[in-house]
Amino acid sequence: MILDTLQNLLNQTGFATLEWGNYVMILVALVFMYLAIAKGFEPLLLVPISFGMLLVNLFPDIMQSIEDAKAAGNAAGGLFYYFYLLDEWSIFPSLIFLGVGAMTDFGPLIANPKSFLLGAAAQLGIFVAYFLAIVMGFNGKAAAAISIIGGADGPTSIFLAGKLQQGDLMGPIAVAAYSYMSLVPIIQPPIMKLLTTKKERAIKMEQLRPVSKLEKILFPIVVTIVVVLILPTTAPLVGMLMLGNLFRESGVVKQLTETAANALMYIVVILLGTSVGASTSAANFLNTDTLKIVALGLVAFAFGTAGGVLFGKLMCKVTKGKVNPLIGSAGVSAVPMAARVSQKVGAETDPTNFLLMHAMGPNVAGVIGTAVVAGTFMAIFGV
Amino acid sequence: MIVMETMGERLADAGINTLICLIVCFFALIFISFIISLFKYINKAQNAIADRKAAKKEDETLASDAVNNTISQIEAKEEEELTDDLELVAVISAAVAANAGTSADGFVVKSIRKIKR
Repeated sequence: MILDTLQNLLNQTGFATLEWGNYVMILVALVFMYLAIAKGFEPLLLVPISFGMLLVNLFPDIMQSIEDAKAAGNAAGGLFYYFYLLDEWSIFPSLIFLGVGAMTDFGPLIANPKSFLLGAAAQLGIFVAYFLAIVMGFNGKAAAAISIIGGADGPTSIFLAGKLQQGDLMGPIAVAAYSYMSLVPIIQPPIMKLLTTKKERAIKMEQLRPVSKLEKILFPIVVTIVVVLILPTTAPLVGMLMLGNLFRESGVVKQLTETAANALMYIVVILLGTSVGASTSAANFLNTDTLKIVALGLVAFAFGTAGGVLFGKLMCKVTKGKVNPLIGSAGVSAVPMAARVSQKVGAETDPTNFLLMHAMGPNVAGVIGTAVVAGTFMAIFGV
Repeated sequence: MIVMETMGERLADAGINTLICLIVCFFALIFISFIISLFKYINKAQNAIADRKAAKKEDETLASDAVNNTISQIEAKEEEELTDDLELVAVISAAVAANAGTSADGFVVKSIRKIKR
């Protein structure tokens, strides 16, 4: 009797149940933790993601679905499974957008609306990746879900993967999207320098005009009406982004702004991060599709950066040298890191050149641009 | 029925989808860009209103300054008149002192005004 009990206990330990793939993923999780904690790569996201990755590979049933749980005689599914449902249902990405809106100042974009063009041009990477994904054998919906990594926007990537019912690919897509977002300062500068001359990088832009409070209040309302009328499928993302911004700019709901930008945002980051991490069990993650997605994500990111910079060069020519092409690369969302990279590369050429505020325009336009592309894909695939 | 598409057909579909996405994305963002570019007129209108209000306030300030100036001018004038009427002040002081039976040091003549009857 005692021996049977001990045998059962032994059979339940990780040593008896885990496979080699789980150990590989545990190692990957530890590397992510190291990068987040020791190197400071997007720690707010990578710490919960890597811990979710660790837990699911130690105890795969933490992601057990309700059906599987019932079949195994359990009353409820795994903890992270319930968190993950909120990813699949697009609830967490939309709530993250609410927080992003509450934290974002759209003033630079209002002062220079031409930045919207750079936000559109930097979506080039999405289309290149979409084409390549088709060539690599992914179906249309999967290719669209993967390609949106090029928008450098984690929540939108999860949102689209959920809407296009690409649950199996959501883990690799989210991990690739967030990993590349944290690698923006490493991936972008070489491409920016390659495509611009020293003279172009040294261009100083005119100071932006001041933007009034009324303009800032009208912006989220007008953008919501226009974008949702053109692409109703973007309503959850663009609507929540603009609601958060209206909280901020109206100035009459400070408690809501505070909650959306801090408490709620961080609660969602914990739940989203752990559940996305938990979607990378060895069985789901260790396959050739993941490698393809990681490669496609990098291509998408690189082409997105290039698209923004090249359009920046075009605007530089058209305006006779008034636009520094470096601000174009900020058109890939990754707010505000991509704008900081534009500032840093510009300052390397001329330390007295301050491009940050100019780059914030394309940067926040990129968030709207990626949401618009995601909405267009949803419309094309009839979601 | 399962329809197998050739790679050529799939790429053609992808090409059309890409084109649609690009057109929609640029159209939507250019349209918003155009609308937001109209915001500068809101700013200009607000500045014009603010300027008008500031000008009005300045006028009011000027008017109030004018009133203040007038009062101080009157006061100055009164003091000036008093200086001119020093002899008259001495006579009145002496008369008041004689009437009250005190010295002229006990009071000060600050102004002399003509009473209309």
